[in-house]
Amino acid sequence: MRITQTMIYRNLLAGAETLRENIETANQQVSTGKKLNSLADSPSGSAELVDLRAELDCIDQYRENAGSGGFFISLAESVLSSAYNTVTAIYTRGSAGASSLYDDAYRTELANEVRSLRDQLLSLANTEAQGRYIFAGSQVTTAPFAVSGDTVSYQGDLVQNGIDVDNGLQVQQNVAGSTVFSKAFSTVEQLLTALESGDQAATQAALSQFKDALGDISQARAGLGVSLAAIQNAGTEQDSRELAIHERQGKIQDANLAEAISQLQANETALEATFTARMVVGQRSLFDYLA
Amino acid sequence: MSSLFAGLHIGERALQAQQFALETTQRNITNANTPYYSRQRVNFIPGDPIGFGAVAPGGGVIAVSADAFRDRFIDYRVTQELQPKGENDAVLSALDQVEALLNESEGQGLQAVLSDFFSGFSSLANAPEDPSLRSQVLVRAQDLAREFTHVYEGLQSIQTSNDRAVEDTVSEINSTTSAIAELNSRIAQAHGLDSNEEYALRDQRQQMLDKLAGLVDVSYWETESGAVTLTGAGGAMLVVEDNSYKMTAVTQPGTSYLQVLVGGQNITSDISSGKLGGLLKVRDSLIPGYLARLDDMAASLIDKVNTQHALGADLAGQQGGNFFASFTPLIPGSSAGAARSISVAITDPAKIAAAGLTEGPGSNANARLLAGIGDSKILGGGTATLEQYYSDLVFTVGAQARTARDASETQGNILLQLQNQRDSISGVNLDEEAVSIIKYQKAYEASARYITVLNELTEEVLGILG
Repeated sequence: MRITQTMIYRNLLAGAETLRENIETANQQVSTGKKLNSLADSPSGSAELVDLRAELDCIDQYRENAGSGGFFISLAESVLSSAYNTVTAIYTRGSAGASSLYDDAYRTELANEVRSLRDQLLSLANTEAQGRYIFAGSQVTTAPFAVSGDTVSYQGDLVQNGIDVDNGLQVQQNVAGSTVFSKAFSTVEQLLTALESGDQAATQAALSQFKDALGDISQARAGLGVSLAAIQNAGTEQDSRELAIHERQGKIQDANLAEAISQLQANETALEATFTARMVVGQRSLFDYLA
Repeated sequence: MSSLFAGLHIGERALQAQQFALETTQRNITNANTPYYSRQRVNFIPGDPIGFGAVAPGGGVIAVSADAFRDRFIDYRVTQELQPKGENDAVLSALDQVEALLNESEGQGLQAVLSDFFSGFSSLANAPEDPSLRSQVLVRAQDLAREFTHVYEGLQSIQTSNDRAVEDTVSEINSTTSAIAELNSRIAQAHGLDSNEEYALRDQRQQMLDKLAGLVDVSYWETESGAVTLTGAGGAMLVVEDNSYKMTAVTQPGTSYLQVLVGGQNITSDISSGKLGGLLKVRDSLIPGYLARLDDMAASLIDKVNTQHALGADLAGQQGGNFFASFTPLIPGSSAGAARSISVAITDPAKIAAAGLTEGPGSNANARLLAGIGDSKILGGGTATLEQYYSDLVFTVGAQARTARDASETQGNILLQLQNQRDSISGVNLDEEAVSIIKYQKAYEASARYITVLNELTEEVLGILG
């Protein structure tokens, strides 16, 4: 090929431009740590990054649900544990009242103790946290249990909220108070009436109801325990999923720094060499030798 | 040699010829870096013999003309590569702006606000009666609506700026075609004379043809007069001899953007390459595609959220009203304009219908279902979630930018090779010119020496006579 002046300079320019572009790309990779600096660098990678970010956002939200929903679940669980103990204590007082060893005066005293324990139970059943009555179903703004005489009535509803703690996994966030406490309250009312009337047979009859009352509480506790365990499992699973997503993100977007730096150096050297070579070659023509 | 004086005449001719050749060499050297300059070479022919007979003396030399080196096939191929390159560069420059607008390489685009929006409902489900969570839902919904509008209007403004560029490009095309027509007429006058003037005019015209090729579809051929005939998109005549036909960019009834007309014929949809082709592609095809996607997303979002919202109860137990202002399409069944006009209808956080119908303020049934819209495949005929539909848009923009970038790079490399080929033929090599100078200088010196000898001979003859 016949080489002409303009070719020499055009090729010099084109070569230097390519090297400068390579340097800029490598430099960008080094300074940002990313090899994906525009959508065009990898269209499918960019789209996948959008998907992965959305997935991470989802995981974050599941964690938030597990944390904030989980708070109410553990709270309910621990309240139910206290409630179980309270009902057991009432049963103990009741059993003493059923004994023929004691007189009516003592039974009245027992009844007063039972009533005070019942009030404790009532306060547990009306537990309020962060502005919501946790055993009220969906009627969270009103105390679910009200007492009139010794009759305790439920004013909440049977609504159970689920919360989403993972893809397709929902857990029960609350238990409706009536399913947990109604039996206990009516049994206690029955016991109080029996104790205060000194009716031992009726007291016995009331005591025989306690098994079911305690059963309701245990069952609710077990349900909440299942929720808590599910949350914990989902959390572990999410941790490993998050790790996998971060790895995938890294694969798509992270620059290989060692490679980028060596690219940077190689191109810089090449650029220098191009200019040096041009100093030697391009400057010369036959005119230099004509006297 | 018939006479000494005839010999002097031969010597004079030789001096003239070498001088002409030296001038040509000088022109080559001074234009060594002039773009589009075609190097010239002098044609020498032997002069007619003087006198008759077997010993008729030679007639010396005549420098008849200078030829310019030019390969028309390579010139034409350059214009064919410049056209798609002009298109791709225009597309690329617009897509850079689209990419900045989507802002997905930073992870702060529509995906983030979409996720936040649905997360807002999911968080609300944890404590539906909580006023701060309710407010958060509204704030995030407003952020989402704002981002939709922001991206939509940003895309439209890219469209508008491309539209304005159409007008500028059309006037650039017109000034180029009229320059070519003018050059045509001057070349036709100089044609056949093999003069420097013609070569210079042709070089200028080639430069104009290249410029035009970067701007719009063009093909051309040379006629017998030396003029080039130019046809553009849709076979429209652009230049015939010394006439150029103007393009006009005008608004036509029923179109919101400028249409390109030649001789009353609308050729907008035929224009496919050059800068103008790129601008029109962005304006009429690429951006409308993106806008349609955003509209589909917004329209589905409004529809699904409003429908679900009406199936729940607010804090006061009332059935939910419209969450987003309901969207009334301009054309029934179309979603056009949804992304620009989307706005949140609810202002009172208590009106968010988080609860199931007939359930109390603590119920989260509807909040969860609203959050679940983010995971349901409500787009693309039930094949994609909002997020997936959007990530597909990101892919599309990226892939289109990638295609334009790769093609432009390839065309750039081909052009470099073609320009090198062109220069290899037409360009000036200083070494060659240096050799030419020596060659012509030596010939000049020799001819001068010859005249000196003749002069001495004449002196001698005169001496004998004297």
